[in-house]
Amino acid sequence: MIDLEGLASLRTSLEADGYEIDVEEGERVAVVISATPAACAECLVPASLMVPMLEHALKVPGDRIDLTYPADHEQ
Amino acid sequence: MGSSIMDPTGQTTRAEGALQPAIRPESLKGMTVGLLDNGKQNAGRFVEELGKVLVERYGVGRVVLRKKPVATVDAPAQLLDDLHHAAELVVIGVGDCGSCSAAAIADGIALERLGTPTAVVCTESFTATADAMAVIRGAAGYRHATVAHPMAGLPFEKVRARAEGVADEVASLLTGATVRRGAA
Amino acid sequence: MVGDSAATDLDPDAAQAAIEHCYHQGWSDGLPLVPATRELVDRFLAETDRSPDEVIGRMDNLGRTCTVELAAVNAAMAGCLPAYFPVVLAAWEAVMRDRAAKGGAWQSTSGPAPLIIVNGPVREELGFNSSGGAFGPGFRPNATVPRAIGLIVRNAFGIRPHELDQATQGLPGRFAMCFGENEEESPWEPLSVEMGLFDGQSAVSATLVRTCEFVDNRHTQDPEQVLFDFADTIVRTGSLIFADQSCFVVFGPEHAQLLAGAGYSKNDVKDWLIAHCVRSEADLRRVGKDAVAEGGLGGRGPSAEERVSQDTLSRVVSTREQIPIAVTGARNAAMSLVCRVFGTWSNSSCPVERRRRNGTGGT
Repeated sequence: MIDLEGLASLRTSLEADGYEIDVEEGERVAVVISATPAACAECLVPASLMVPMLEHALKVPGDRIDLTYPADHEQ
Repeated sequence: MGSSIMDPTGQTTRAEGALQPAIRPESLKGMTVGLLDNGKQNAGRFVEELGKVLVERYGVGRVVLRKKPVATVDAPAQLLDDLHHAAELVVIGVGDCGSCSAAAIADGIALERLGTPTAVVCTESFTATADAMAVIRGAAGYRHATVAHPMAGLPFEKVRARAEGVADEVASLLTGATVRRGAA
Repeated sequence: MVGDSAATDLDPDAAQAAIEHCYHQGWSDGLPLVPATRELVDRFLAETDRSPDEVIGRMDNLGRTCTVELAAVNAAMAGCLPAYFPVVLAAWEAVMRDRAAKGGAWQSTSGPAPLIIVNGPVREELGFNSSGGAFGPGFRPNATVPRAIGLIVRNAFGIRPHELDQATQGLPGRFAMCFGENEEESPWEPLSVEMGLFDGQSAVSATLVRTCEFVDNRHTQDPEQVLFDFADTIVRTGSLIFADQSCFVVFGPEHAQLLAGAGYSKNDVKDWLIAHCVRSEADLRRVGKDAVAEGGLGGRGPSAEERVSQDTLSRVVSTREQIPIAVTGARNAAMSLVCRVFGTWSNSSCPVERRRRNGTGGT
């Protein structure tokens, strides 16, 4: 079970930079972060940093998370 | 399921509380405070105004200003080393986006590790990012000060008001022994 | 090991997921890591008598330490076999004997790389390449032992590029330089024996280097002409930054045999290079490095009394310790390498200490 409070506060952060986050939990946790037209490209942390952040916020081990990131931020 | 993968950093098991925060002075009187402008819009003005408030309200001796070359990634080691030598305490601002908040927290933790008490200021929207970054850098519970979001685009008077509003919180982060939230 | 299970029994999907997990954690140097499990790490630890908790390296300014166990995790991730672990520990110790490695070398803009030399029977036992293409690629121990050192720096010390690692350009082959000395075709005593260990003792020597430059001289059989070719590489002004220079000369067997055949011992070669690796004041002034001869960084200054005459010669190396020599590679062409030492090499070799099984001693 993911931590909904953690998700809510991470969502606040992402929305401030113009990003949306969708989380679907099954056997694994699918996280999709997508850019809105107002997104600030340089404000999003690299995917390599977002995974541990999700780990912390959602209280889910990183190896259960499948992260889909805006294409230009994959690294 | 197979067995779990071991961590090669040695940090995971003691991430909570791994940071030994720098030793704080009792008061700010006569201290030299380094102001690190992370380069975001209004950040320079904000830290300068905050510096002035700290001088007026707490008797800070003098301030030294430095600017980070790139807001969204960690500051170069030389810059942090320079601040560590040039100032007794450091204030970093302003984390007002995901990547620059994460980087500001990372810089704050790096300075603590060098032995310089540091207060990082982020806008309230990025508390989650800042706290997560502290955990990632082995400093769970590392506290930062918050101001209202946004900072960019504000007229000067409002920047000054934000500085006045957060000065007490910054001062308390820079002094005294308590720098963490109740042990996480 | 390979072939124990039929390829169809393996689970490539699980392997790929585990590898990606390691990338996501930020542990990788860019290449895939072997996911290290407790069971695998225990097999590494079983190869040494040292306690898993023993601290074998510390970076006080970063508040980070490396224990034997952390070294084992990183060695496993680097792709080492458990049997390599005593060599990794010896290599780590050899690298850390370099004064710069305890200080700021890993964070230096120079981005120096460990150069690791393996001597003794462990070369053959574990399959270290000491002959053709000794600098790689293609040999698991040569490739994975230096990689383990790099992963320890990255993960145990937490020094990563763009963060604490400030390398301007880095250098090709960083954390990939490890060779066995070709003792069988070297006319001279092995490096480890020169450093005081007994012949037949497996050992590792290491220093940090800034680059490697080849000397290809298949043109003459005259030992002095060959040596002048080495001297020309050693005195290259671009790499002169301080008065004291140090170069690790890694001879190919042909050059070594030619020199030995003409009567040169290792020390004779070193003494010849000390005497002939010189640079004129005019050369140094032309590149703005005339103060290098005095230990400075820039020019001597414009005033006449500060200047010395144009034909004054300055030594580039001054002691035998600054010109360590090893021999590796195939005896198929007269080629060698000059490896530019970053700081000061420790002038020592570390024995490879394997587990004393059943208390019967041995090394």
